[in-house]
Amino acid sequence: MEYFVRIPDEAKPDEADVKIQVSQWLYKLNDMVQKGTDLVEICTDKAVYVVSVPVSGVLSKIFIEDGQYFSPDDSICIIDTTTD
Amino acid sequence: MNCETNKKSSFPSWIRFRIPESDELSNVHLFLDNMGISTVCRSALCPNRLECWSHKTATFLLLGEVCSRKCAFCAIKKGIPTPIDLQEKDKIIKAVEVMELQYIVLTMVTRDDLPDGGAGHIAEIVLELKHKFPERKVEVLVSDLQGNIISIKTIINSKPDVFSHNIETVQRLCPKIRDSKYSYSLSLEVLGKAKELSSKIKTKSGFMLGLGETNDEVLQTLKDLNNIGCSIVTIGQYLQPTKKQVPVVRFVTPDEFNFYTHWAEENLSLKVIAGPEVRSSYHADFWCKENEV
Repeated sequence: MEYFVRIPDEAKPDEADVKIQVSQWLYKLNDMVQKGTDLVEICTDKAVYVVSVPVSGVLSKIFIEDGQYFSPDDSICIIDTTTD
Repeated sequence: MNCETNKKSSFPSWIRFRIPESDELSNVHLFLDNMGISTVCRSALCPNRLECWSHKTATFLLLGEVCSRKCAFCAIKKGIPTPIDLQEKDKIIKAVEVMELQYIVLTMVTRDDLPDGGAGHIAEIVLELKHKFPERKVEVLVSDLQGNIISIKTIINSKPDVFSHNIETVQRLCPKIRDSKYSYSLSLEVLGKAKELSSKIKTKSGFMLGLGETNDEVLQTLKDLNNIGCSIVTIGQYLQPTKKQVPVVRFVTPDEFNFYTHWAEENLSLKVIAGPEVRSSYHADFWCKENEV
């Protein structure tokens, strides 16, 4: 099953002009990712935030690469939770 | 501070905040939204807010979301304040009940448009909280109330456990960082008056580092707060909320923050809670328990 990772609603900045940037992926594409470990660092004007892996699986697709900006509603990656 | 290539390069390694996993995040902010209650956590874009919400705590922002002053560091909306929400007291009581808060922090936008600066409204809520939940602690973090002694008295008479007012920065930087209606000496006077009116009350203040202050100026600020009987001082790193606010001059190291805590311990009679992530009401319940509030 494909799990689309988005920033939790609670973390969304209220101000429309607060841009979010992916600073650094802490896993590579096709890595096995473990729930609760650090997945990606994102950055606003104010600080750097670390987003945890929401579900265990394989990081099968990265939509927003290092240095790219995204809107809070965008999915940033897909984790494939299918287990063989 | 904002490098367009990768913003991360603008921040030192210790400026990291964790976004809790979805299942750790409580529904605190949704509940408060539905209730029509504002929090300073969200209005000021506090980077600790997710951690606090996951611990089911929040700092209530009273008297609307629009501040009548224009401080250069602050992300709270500025302009003509909105009418007072007459249901606010009931909403706060309900929220405290549902969230089972044992330590309640109430803050406010500055309301220069109101004759009493909003003191009567705050006091009414404190009185009701103390009546309904006599065993719970209430901290009020107020504006300078224009130094109005009657307004300060109104708040003190409602018997909060902690009276807090932030001095925000050192004396030299005050005109640059805070609205021109604020002054360093008036902030000290407000805190001093509160203590004079009730020797039992704990007074608390806070300020930010990283705005261009010197070490001597920080020590002087701590001495000044000590001299007017302040019990607790919080010191945290200033973080520019958006490009509209003044930029960070410097990121202060965790060791420097520790130095101020230890220096105060050795030289003064106030408790200093200092660290890059510290904000005036961050872990307020824990620190006030530690300080026997």
